[in-house]
Amino acid sequence: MRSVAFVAFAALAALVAAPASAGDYPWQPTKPITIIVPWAAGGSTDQVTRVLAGELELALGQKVVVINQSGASGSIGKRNVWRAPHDGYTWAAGAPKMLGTYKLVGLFDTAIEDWLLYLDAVTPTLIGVNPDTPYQTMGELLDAMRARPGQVSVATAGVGSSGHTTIEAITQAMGLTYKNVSYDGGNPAVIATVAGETEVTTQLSTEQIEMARAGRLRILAVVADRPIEMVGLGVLPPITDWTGPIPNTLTHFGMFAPADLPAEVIRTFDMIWEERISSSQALNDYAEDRGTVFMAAFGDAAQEAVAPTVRADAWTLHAAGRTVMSPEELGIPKP
Amino acid sequence: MTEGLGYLAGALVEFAAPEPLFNVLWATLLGIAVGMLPGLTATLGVALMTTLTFRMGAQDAILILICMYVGAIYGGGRSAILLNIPGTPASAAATLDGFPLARAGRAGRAMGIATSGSVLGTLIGMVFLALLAPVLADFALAFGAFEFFWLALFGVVIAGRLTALGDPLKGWLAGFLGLLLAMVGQEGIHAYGRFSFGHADLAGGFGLLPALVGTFGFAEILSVMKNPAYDLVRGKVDSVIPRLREVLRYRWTIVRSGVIGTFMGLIPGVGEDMGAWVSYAAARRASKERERFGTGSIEGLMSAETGNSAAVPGAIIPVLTLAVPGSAPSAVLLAAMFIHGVRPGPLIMIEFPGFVYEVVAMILLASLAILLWGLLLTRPMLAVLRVPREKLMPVIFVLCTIGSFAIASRIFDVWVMLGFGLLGFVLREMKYPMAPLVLGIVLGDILDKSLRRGLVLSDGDPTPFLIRPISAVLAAVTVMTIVLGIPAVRRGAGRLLGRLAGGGSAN
Amino acid sequence: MIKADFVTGLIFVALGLGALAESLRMPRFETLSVNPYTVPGIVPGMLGAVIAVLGLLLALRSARAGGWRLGGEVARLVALRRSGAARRFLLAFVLTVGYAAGLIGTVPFWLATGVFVFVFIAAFEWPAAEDRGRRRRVLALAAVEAALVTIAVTLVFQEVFLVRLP
Repeated sequence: MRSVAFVAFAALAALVAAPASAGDYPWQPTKPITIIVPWAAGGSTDQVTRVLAGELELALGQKVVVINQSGASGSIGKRNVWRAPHDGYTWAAGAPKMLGTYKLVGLFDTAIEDWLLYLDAVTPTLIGVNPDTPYQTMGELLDAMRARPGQVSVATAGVGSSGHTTIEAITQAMGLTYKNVSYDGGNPAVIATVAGETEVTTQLSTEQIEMARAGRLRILAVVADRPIEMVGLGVLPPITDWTGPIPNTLTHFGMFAPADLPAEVIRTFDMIWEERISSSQALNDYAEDRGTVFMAAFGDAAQEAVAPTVRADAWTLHAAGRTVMSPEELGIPKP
Repeated sequence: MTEGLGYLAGALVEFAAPEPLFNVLWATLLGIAVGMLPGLTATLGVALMTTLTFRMGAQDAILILICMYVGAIYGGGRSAILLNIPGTPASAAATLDGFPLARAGRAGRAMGIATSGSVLGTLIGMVFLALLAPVLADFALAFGAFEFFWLALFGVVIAGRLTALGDPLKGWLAGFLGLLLAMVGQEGIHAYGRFSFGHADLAGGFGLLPALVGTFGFAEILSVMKNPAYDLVRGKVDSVIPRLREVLRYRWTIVRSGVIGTFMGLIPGVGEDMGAWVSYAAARRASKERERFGTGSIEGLMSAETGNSAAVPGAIIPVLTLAVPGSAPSAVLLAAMFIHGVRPGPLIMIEFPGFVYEVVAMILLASLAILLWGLLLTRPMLAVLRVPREKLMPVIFVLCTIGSFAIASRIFDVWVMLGFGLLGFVLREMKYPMAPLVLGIVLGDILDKSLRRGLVLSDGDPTPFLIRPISAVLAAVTVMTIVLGIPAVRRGAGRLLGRLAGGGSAN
Repeated sequence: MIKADFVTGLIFVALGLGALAESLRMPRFETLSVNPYTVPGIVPGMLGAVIAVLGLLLALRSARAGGWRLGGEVARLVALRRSGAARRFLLAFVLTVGYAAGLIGTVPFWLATGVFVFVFIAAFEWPAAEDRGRRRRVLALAAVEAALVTIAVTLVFQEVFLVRLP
């Protein structure tokens, strides 16, 4: 395959490899580092994490092994990271916003402040429907939900996932109901919609874009407050055209570990993010191709970036009756 | 079509250079080693190589991964035949006839025939990939929650029936016990820790690999050491090169198993294991030497090995055309393709038309490599049989232990291996087959989620489980398997058939 | 075997019913507005019931063949204890479990493995060696194999497969 992407990738790999020296960082790992992806292999988190792992390998001069441990809305894999020694050798990857809501839905007793976040991308969700369904516009889909309460089936990656909070935010804003069908990850949820098992999916753009480009999904709207152009799909209308303002559901992605890592490990990763990740061409190209936005952040900036979505998700989930306590008990103010 | 042949020829020419060929050879050999060692599976091997080939070019990296995958599924059959310990879950069916053949002093012939089965199975799957990939991918989409429910149930029922021919009740007990054991730990929808009793490790569930290594590996070690001595027929090492006549004699078994294996590979989540089991079941139904199945039937071994190997290209079909993995190792392969800038999916034929044929060429090379290694390695591998058990078993046990630990670096997994080993030993002593137990653990999660998801979709109405076309067929076959497995019914049916045929010859 | 089937049949009935009872006790999340068809207890409860039924069939079948007469079993078990097979099984069991559950994780991996392989081979080959010379040979060979296995396994898993050894 002599595709442009491949040539570009190879050239980049060579380019990035040149200044690589593992000696500049205060922490030098002596054994391979493990990143646990709490979702199935091949999904969007898995892919971007493997690209990220390659960048980290170049920076640290040590192998970075990616393991998939899916299940229970991603909480099983993250719990295993928490249980492993807090030494910088075991990380989790994915959407850190869920760390802020696990405790609320009774999945995992943790708080987002207990984790150290390193972000690399921010992704919107899309409203995609199977092309055989009659819904041509977002308005028609909302009408159908009104006409058949609790009957329009929506595939998501489980409680608290981006797809789930998106559909909850929309239906709550409009006073509608729907049928929630959860899958093991964003990819299986999208495939179920392509296959016609469910009518709608509200998963991330990265997970839907390829099927949408091939005409196997019809994209009705992008969940944002302004139109967004995506390669191969043109300009997508924002959901707010139909719903008015709804809570923020932008999803940040990255890797994270317990916040009480040794100081030299934290300093090392801060430096890597500052110097390498924020200017990584490989990650940038990957992001553009997959319908997402490249964005590197760490430390307080990362926590601040994620906070609005956590707040919105927490109250959306609470209003949906899926929480075991009030977000206020966790100190999450009402937006 | 001619366009496709052109791409294929181009790809083959490109690969016919020293470096790619060298990569094919070592990657396949490493795959065979990973497959053979109890405790290392194809998934682990492919995942490991994804990391190690990260900085290679896309073509080289994917070539290596495919060779690894094909080699590992093939390699799993070697230890199944020689030691009665399947190296990967996909080779459990190969123990049924492979090990009896080895015990009868025909290990060489068994491995030769298994090699030809694997190679031909891979080639059949490859032909489907080359000719029908987009059409077949839509078949994979026809499997929804309702179909998966029946498929999982069918897998356990058929494996229980086939591994305990005289007494299917015990096979089914083992299978349902496997399904129940798969329920332990957090379930995938609400993360409730079932049967965990507040125990943190139990809430994580039993890993498939420690369970497999325990029930087959550790239990086998205990049985072998318990028995007085190997009653192995040694002596004449018969020809390790499969005779053409023999292959021709079983041509229909090979074609049938190849087709079944490919289709099982297509269906997401079930993959190679079911490819082997369903091929084996079909071969037994059609065979003239049905009574020899399970006691050392060449045809049985051939069908199992052809079926699991054909599932490899089968599993790659939806990876390429839908970006949906058909099996666990192919899921990792999919991720590797994305990382290397290839975008598998419905647009692949438009965006990367040559890539599909490059994968075909890669599979062709991998199958030639397993043929080569199979012929070269069979004789040296027979040496394993000559190692006294006192010296061999501690080494295998070390591999079982470290293999269980390696997956997640958890000591708990070693305990799981020991527990399943002891359970497996006791059950085996009482003539319960182990393969349905392990298949139950594989399929338990699919059964659980499919049933609940199906009920959500239908609002609790069970009829879609029975009237959707594929569901109806699977349901009928499952019920038939159960009914015909009940001895009284089988005798009655036999009598009836005999009377209808106008004689008493039917049995 | 018939008697063993009778007992295991009953054990399966108990296991199946136990699983069913535990499934009924699993939460149904009524307060969380969860779809009732997704509650965790459905499938395990079903499987428990199936196992109980299959176990009952097994117990009934063996009872009809006389499996319920369990007298004399204790004496047979005691006799079995003295057989060579039971002795070899116990030895293998104690050594393997001692290694995997006792040594692994408490002493370094290479030491545990070396000791285990050596003791296993020596313990099983010792009774067959008649004189002193042969015994010495058994021990020497066991030591060599233990060393080779330890080095090979440690290197392969640590360096090639990147496993963190315990």
